[in-house]
Amino acid sequence: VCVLFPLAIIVGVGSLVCWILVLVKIFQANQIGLGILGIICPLFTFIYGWVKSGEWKIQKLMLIWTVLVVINIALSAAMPHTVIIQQH
Amino acid sequence: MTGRARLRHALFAPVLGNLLRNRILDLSLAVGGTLQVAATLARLPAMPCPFRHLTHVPCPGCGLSRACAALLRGNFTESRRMHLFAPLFLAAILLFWMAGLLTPARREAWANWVARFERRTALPTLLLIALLLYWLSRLLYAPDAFLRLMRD
Repeated sequence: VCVLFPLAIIVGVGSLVCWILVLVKIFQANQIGLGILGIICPLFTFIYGWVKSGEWKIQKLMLIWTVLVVINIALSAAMPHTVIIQQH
Repeated sequence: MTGRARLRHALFAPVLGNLLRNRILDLSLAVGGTLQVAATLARLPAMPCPFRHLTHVPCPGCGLSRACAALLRGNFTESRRMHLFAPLFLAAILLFWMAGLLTPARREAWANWVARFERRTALPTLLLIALLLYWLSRLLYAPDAFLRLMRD
């Protein structure tokens, strides 16, 4: 847990930054309604980001976010009582 | 465009209608939403909320998956306690499944109908604003109870 906890924080910060960057892209595309939906539902932002990744050239960002999400889920499974912050 | 006209344009701009046109997006959202709710239903780890993960403050959508899972288990009280908008979230998943499985011509016709409905009523935008107000009211009027509920 001592090793995993700092990792969980790093992964959390990374996920938050990726989420905000994709939200900025959505708002920059003048899609205010979708932007609000993205604030409410990070899963929507994640999927929408992947669908638009080619058009907005954010494949690398989405790849990083995906890796962070997978690590996050793995950490949640590894230490459910300390990291599990199951959203939604 | 005046400020008022711009606000009206932003409020009445179709949200759902535009989403429904894209089959890949429809199916991705349908599969993603279904997996999220199914994982929560099976008490498996699902996609965490990046905002809550770091700040420990629930985002406007926090509790939705658990509310949907409770609704599917038939526990309406628990569902209502977790998040009032769970039935709408489930309806949206169903809508994306239907749109994703329709033929292109039918999907386009349906998306056009939904977009027209949105331009007339601004319903999805108003629902999104209502959801934000619901979150703010939970956070401001009973923060301790809300944070405890999301932590459990």
